[in-house]
Amino acid sequence: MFLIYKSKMGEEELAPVVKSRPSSQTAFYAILAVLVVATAVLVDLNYGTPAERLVFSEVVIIWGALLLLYFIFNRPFIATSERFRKTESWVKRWLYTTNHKDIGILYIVTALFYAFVGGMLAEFMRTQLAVPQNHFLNPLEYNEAVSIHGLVMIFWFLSPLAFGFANYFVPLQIKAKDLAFPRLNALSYWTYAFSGLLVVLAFFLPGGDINGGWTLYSPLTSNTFMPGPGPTLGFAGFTLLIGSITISSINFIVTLVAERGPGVTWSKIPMFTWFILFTVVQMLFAFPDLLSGMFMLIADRLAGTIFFTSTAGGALLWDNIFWFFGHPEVYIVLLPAFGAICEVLPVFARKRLFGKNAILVATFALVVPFSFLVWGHHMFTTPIPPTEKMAFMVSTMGISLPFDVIVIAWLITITGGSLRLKTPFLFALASIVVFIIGGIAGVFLASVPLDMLFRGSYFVVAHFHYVMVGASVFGLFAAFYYWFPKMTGRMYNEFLGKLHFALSMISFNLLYFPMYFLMDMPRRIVTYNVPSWTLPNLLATIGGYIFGAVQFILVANFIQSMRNGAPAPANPWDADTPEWEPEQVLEEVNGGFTTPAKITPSLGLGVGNSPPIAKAPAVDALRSAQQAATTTQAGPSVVVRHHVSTRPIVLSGGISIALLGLAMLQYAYLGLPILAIGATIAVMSIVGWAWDDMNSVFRIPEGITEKWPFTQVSRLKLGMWSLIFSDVILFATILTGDAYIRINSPTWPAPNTLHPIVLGTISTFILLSSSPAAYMALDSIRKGSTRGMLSWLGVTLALGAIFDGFEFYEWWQLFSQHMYPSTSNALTTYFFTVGIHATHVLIGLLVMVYLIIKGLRGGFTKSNHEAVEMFGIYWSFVDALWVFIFAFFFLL
Amino acid sequence: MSHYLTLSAWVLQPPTVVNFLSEYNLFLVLGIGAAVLTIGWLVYATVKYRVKDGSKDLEMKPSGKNDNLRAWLTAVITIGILAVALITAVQATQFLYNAPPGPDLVITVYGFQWGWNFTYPNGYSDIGHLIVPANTTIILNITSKDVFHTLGIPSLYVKGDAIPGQWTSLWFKVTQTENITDGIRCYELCGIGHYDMVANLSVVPQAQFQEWYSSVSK
Amino acid sequence: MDEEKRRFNPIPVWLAVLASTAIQIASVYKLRQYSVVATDTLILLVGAFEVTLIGAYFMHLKFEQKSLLAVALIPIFIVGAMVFGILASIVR
Repeated sequence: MFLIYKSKMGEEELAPVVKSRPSSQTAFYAILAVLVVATAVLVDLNYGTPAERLVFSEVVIIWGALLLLYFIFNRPFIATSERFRKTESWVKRWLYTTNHKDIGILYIVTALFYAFVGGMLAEFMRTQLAVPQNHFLNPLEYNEAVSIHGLVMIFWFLSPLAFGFANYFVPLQIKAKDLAFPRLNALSYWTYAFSGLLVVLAFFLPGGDINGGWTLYSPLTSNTFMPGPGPTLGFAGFTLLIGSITISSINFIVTLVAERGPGVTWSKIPMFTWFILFTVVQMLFAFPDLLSGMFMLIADRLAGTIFFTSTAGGALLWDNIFWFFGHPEVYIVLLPAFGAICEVLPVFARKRLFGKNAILVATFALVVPFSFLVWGHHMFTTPIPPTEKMAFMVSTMGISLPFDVIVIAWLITITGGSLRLKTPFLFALASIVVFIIGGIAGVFLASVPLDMLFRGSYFVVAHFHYVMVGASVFGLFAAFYYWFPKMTGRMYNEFLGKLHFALSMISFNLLYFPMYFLMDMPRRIVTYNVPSWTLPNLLATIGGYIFGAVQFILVANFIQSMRNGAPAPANPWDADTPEWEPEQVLEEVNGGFTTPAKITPSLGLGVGNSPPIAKAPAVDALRSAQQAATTTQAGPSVVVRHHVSTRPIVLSGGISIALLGLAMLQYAYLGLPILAIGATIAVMSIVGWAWDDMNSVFRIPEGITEKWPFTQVSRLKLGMWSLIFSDVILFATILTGDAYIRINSPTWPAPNTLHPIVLGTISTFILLSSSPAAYMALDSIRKGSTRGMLSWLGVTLALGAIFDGFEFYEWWQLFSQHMYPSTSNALTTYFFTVGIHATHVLIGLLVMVYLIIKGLRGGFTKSNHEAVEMFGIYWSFVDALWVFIFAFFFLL
Repeated sequence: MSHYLTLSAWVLQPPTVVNFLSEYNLFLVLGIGAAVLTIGWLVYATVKYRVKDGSKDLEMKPSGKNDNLRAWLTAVITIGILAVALITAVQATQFLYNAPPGPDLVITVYGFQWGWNFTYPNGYSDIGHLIVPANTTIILNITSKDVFHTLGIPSLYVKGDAIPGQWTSLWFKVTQTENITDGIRCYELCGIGHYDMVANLSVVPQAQFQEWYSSVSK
Repeated sequence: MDEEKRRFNPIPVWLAVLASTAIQIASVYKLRQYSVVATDTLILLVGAFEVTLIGAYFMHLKFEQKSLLAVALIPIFIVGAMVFGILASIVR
């Protein structure tokens, strides 16, 4: 892409600085004014409260990060000429974009913002622990800092940073036009960004933020021990993030299968993309498990269920659910960095990757499945059976084998090459070294007897910081330097890069290596008074300060290089992966636009090389791709357009506001209105989204691409099946949790005592009859009968509504007998499980309303009725779930 | 740690300590060996094969198929190391869950926010101080009254979770009398008093213990 | 794929699903007094059969590529690991 820009770059640099103030700048100052007022109010509210210092420091963090964002994003509208904004403003571009590159940049910048938040919290903790008996933070502040540091760094910094690169480079590496569902991609981004703000906002609410550690061990997270809307909001934000991640995983899986460009067979997929595929497969199956755990936790806090407060479920159930997710999560943050290392090593060693297939097989056949079989090693001191502990010990030690294969392959790759010691390569090597140290410590932790000392100690802290900060972040830094020329068209400063590498490596080891010697110091203690712990802690704090400070070299380097760096050649590293090939002149030629006003340039960071788009002619949404291509190819000036949509940001904003209201429900006068406003916004944007679809405002035609192994499965169907796979895990977790509680409960009502079988049978028959009705609707439209389809959809809708009615009738019956979720374990599991299922039914009903309206407007034809088929699959899946739920609560 | 090299020092150590240290030392030797080999290889290769900045026209070399031997060799070594580690770890684990027969004392431990309650068979209970006789197998049955705690005695290398509604058992046997201030700690975040959830451990001669124990009997 | 090949008569499938449910309910009333374990096993097996029917026909799995079915084994494997591992941790 920037091959073409390059000729333009000189001109762009000379472009006059904007004289008139653009509207975006006005908006910025308006936001600034709001923030000043909000800050003043917050400071006033929190002045003199116990958490005041933490609150104030968070204000400082947010302000600092906003300014950082301003200076990064501010660039385009200063550097570019007036022409640039004739069609689209800077603000609209970044807020409404659905382009994968733009969203990739947004992910990266937002991840750096959250790294700043989490990093400041870490510096507070290190300051507190620098000397014994310190009083810099009080225990509550420290617990909040330790929890939010962990959560933010793992979920809002590490993974999103990796997915920023994935967004930008996976489509390029597989020659796809974009991700399979661009609007869902934007939705993922905005829910991610807002969910983090919710978690940070929770600091300011009564009760403070989550303060039970990132592992959220129950029952410390219950209302009894962690009261207030603050923690609830934190959990709600976390849940929203899981939703974002699930959407994102489905999007990437479908993209990788169905959107590969012509000629890109599986064997031609570059390593980074492979590792992203492995990561999203793990995400698809790991996160729904945590999602149901979070649902249970939030239900415990808001609806009075007793999943984690009763002793039947309780702490050990949470341990199981959390770590079943938690261990795959370790690899979810690690594998993208491994992918980056696999890209960087061969390019700078000038030698092809050794054992590419061995690496792929080791990862996909061993790491991915085994990561779901090792979670018990986090529970070696719990009273689970010793035999099970030994089984988990075996599988945990076994999972180090594929990593051995990978590391050896890397070492053989660099042996005998011609190594160019540039910054990306150095960071890749640093990542490997640190991973070896951290990984070997991991084998120590896999042993039950050694856990008798290490569990819950700083040895664990040292281990996972070596693998997460060291291996993952250094690997992603390598990716950052490696792809920086591609993203900005400029070279970074090599000296600053090497300085950043050297200081990072030294201070990182100074920070974390002493922790290996603190084998008997408990994690997460606010202060200590043991002489032998003093020196390692002091060294770690010094290392922490240096490590934190040197990260600004990276930021400074990038900001400076974006502005003044030497123009980058097309392929500065002589790499041979597709993302370095010159891109097509027209990036996206499809009918995804409403009006010409929505045409926006799409590029990487867009600094100094924004293409002039004044010549962009109006493009009718109905024109074919070919026509669009010919009309817009006016001379060398490139018009790169992308589909924009206001829906994702508004929808995620609405959901976030609604969650804020939900968390504050105990203050009815405050919580309810906020909830109502947020829900209204969310519902309106969902309706708007449906309206867009109904009118084909935003449509991406499916290209003829490589799709093996799903040559006959459409993009939408693959997405639907991925969603169902993740939903299977969600319900499996819920039902396993129910079964766990049931086995542990001293008593459980026999069939037909609590829930009348007759009632259950009627509703079961009704729901099971709606599946054939949904099939008949599909059958009718296949024959071309819209009327038949509409009638059968009507029947399905009626049956589904009656079913939900029966469920609510039974709820009402129970309530009238004073049976509430908090009454017993049996009722807790019943209300929760049936409630989640009834919500699934309700979503199906809403989809049917959409289908019926679209059908009435003639939206479905004999050849075009994919949505009806997708709905049928989803609806039957919900029926199939009910079979198990019915059996569990009514028959067993 | 040099005194662990003499056999007599090992004999005097409590059995849980010997169990831990023999396992730990084995892992340490294997782990440091593996780390030195791999990191040494990496540093050596980096130094040996580096080229000057600005070297031009470097073709991509093939991946080095003749290195298969080296790959298999390292894989076999790693599997061997892991197998040794695994076999010893399984043995050491079985040791942990089989308390030796003989005279024993069963003490019930309740964790609470924020402290430890030790209840003896005679009904006497103490908060914050565990007194046990030497050369006796001590069995701790641990549970919690409120949230998740973890009882750990680092000097004896034993640890067990205190979970509401669940019972965790562990055993240890101390050979020498000693007094350890804050010898028992909580190892799982349990609220704002987590850092201060400590208890003292006193090991006294059996006769002295019997005297004390009968004096507190109800 | 040829649309005609994807068509089937839903009535027998529907009746089979309803009949399975009837068997489950009958077993609660008639069999449970003799053996709870046998009843529960029967109910779960019949339930699995029902879900298979729904999946094969109403979710069109029978008419899809076999590769999709193969991929469906991954979540089944993971669910199996989860159920086994979590429930095993209760056994003392």
